[in-house]
Amino acid sequence: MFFLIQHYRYVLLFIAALMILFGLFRLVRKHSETLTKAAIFGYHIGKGKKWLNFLILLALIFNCFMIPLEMRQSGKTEISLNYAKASQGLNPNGTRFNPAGILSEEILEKAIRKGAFPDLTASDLQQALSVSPKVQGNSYDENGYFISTQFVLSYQATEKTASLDGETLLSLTAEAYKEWFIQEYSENVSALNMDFSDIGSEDYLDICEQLRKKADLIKLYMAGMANEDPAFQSSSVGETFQSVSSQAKNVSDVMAEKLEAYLLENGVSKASSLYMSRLSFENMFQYFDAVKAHRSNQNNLAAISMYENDMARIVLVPTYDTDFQFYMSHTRIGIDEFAKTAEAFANDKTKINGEISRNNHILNQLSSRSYAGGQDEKAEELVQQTEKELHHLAEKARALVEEYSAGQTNQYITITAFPWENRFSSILLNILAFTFLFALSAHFVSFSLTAGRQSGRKEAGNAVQEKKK
Amino acid sequence: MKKEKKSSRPKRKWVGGVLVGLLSVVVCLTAAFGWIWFSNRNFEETFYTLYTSKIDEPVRAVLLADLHQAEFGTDNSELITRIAALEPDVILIAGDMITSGSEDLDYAVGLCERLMAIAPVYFGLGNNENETVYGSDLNADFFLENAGLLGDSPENFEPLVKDNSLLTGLRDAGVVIVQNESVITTVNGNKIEIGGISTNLSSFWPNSGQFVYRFAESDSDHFKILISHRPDPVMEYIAGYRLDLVVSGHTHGGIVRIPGKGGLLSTEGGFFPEYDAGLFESGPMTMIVSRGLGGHGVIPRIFNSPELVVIDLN
Repeated sequence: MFFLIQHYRYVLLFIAALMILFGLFRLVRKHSETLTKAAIFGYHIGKGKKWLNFLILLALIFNCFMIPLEMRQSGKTEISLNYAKASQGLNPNGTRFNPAGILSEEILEKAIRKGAFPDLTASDLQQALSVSPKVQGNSYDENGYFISTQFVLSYQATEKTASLDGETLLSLTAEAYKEWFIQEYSENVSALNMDFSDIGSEDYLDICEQLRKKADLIKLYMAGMANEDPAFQSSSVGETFQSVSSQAKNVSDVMAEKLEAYLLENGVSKASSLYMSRLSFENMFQYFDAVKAHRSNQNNLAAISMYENDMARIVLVPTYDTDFQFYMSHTRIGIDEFAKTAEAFANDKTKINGEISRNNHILNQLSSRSYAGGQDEKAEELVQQTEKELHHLAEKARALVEEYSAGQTNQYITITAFPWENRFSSILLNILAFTFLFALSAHFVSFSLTAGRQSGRKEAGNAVQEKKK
Repeated sequence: MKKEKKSSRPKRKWVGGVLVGLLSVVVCLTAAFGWIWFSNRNFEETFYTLYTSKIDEPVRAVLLADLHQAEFGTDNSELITRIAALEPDVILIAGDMITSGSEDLDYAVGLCERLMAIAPVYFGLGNNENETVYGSDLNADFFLENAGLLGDSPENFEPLVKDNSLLTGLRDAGVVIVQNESVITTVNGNKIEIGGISTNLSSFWPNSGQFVYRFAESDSDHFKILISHRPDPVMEYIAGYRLDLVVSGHTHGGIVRIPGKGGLLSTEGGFFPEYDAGLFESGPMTMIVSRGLGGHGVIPRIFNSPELVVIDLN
C-alpha cells in the first residue's frame, strides 16, 4: 500500500501512457485518413459514453483521496539562524556550526520522545529526514561564496514513518533541535556563583588576592557581554553590562586595595611565620627565574651585536594587497626575531623582579610589626564587606545576563513550517491534471475503438460493392 | 418485430443513463460522507513549544476542548491511551466537554477520572457546562435577571447554580474547576498559576474582568495560564494583560476549514471567525485556540480534523 501511495502519480501516468499507446496502435492498424477525420468530427464525449464517464468519475474520486495522501508523504520546514555569528558559519560560542547536528541521534530521540512514538527509532527517522542549505553557495568564484543561515529540513516518508503525520515529525524535530540549541548555547552563568566557603581558612593576604580575582571575573564577564550588546539595559535591575563591570572594578580597586593596605600597614596575618617562610621560598624560585630571564636577554642582545653588521636590516618584498594594489612588504628577518626575544626576556625579568620586591615588602612589613597572629577583627570585617559586595554584584550580573539571554537565545532559531493547507492549490491542481489526463487517454482509447469499427465497417461495405460490380 | 425492437432501444438508453447518473451520485455521496465520517473520528495532535524564563524544568500540558461527548475508541480508550503516552504534567480542559441538554453527565466525570490517573486536571467551564449548571450561557441578560442573587459579588456564581451534580461529580473525581478563580500549583518544581473564566463578550465586565485583572497583575514571577473557553473576550478586553498563556476553544476551528484561508463558520454566527484556531500573540500574552475534538449541530467538520493540543513549556 505504501508503495502505491508513494508512486501513485507515476502509476497514473503509466496507465494513461498505456491507454494512449493502445489507442495509437489501434488507429495505425485501421488507418484511413478520411475515415479517422470523419470519426473525430463524429465523436461525442457524452453520447453513448456513460460507463466511460462513470469510470472517469471514479478515477476523480480515487484521485481526491490518493493524491493528497501521496503529497502529504513529503514536507519541508525551514530553520533560520538569527544570531550574528551565524553568517560566519559559527555557533553563538564561536565553534563551527554543523547542520548535520539537526539530525543527530540525540535530537531525533528527543523528537521521538516528545511525540511519543514508541515504534519509531532515531535511525528510522533519520532515513526519512534530510537537511540542506536553503541557498547553496559554491567555491568556483568569489561571487559564489555563501554561508547559508537558513536550512531546509525535508521529510520524505519511508515505510516505517508512513503511518505518522510528516508535518508533526518535522515540527517535533525542529523544536527538539531548537530546545537543544538554546540549552547548549545560552549563557552559562555558573561562573558568577560566588562561593567563599573555601577561602575562609586561607591567610588574609591570600583571601585578598582571591577576592580581587572574583571581582576581576565579574568585571571581565560583564565587559564581554557589553561588547556583545553595549546598549542593553535590564528592565528589572536597571543596570547595563558596563555599569556592573565598573562596579566590579571598584571592588577590586577600592575595597580589595583597602583590605590589602590595612593588612600590610599592620602586618596582619593569621600565621605570620608560616606565611613569611612561604614567601621566602617563593622568592628563591622567583630569583632563579629572574636570573634565567636576564641571561636569556643577554644572549639575544649578544647575538644581535655579533651579526648586526653582517645581516640585512630591512627586507622589502614586492607584493599585492587584498585590493590588488602593488606595495613593498616589510618582511621579518632573523635579526628582528632576536630583538623580539630579547625584549620578551627583559619584560619577564622586570615582572619577576617586581614580584620579588613586593614579596620583600610584605616580608618587611610582617617582620617589623608586632602582630601576634590569629584572627583580626578589622580584617574580618573588611573581608566580609568585600564578600557581601561581590555577592550583591554577582546577583545583579546574573539577573542581567539571564534577562538578556532570555531575549536573545529564544531568538537564536526561527522555525517556519509549511502546512499542507498552504499546498492545497497545488494538490487541487494535481487532482484536476491527473484526472484530465486519465479522461483524455480513456476517451482516446474509446475513440480509437470507434474509429476502428467505423473504418472496418466502411471497408467491408466497399469490398461488397466492388464484388457486386 | 423489427419495428418493436427499434422503438425499445431509446427507452433502454434513457433508463441506462438514469441508472449511471444515480450510481454516480451514490458513489460521490458515499465517498464524501465516508471521508467526513472517518476524518471526524480520528484526532490529530498539534504541538506547540513556548519558551519562557519563568519555567526552569520543562512542563508539558495537554489541552482538551469541545469534546461534546465525542468518543475516540470505546469509552475514549484511544484518546486516553494517546494522552497517557504523551506523558503530560498537567491536563487543561477548555470547556464544552458535554453538550447541554444531555442527561449523560457520567461521560465527563468518567473521562476526568481516567485523565486524573494520568495528570492533574484543571477544568474551565464552557457555555454547554454553564447551561447545564446554571441553566444559561452566563450572558449579560442572565446576570441582570439574577442580580439579586449575586448581591455584592458579581464574580461569585455559586448562588446561581441550579444543578450541582456535574460540578460535584468533577470535584469528587479530583478535578480542579477554575471559575473566576485561580490556583497555584507546583509542576516539576515550577510555580504555575492556573485560572479560568467562562463568561462571554457581553458579560465579561463586570462578571469576570476584575478577577482577570487581579490574576494578571499579581506576582509575576511565576507562569500564569488562563483557561477561557471563548477566545474573543480575551482578545477584546485583556489582550495586553500580563498573562503568559491563554488556552481556548469554542470555535471548533471554524467547523468547515477552507485550506489556506482558515475557519469558515463561527459558532457565534457569522463567517470567518478571527480566532478560529492556532497560536495568537498579543504583547506578553500567547493565546492557543484549539480546534476542539468534537462537535454538535448539523454541519459536520470538513477539512477540520479533531485536534488534541500538546503544549511544551521550556
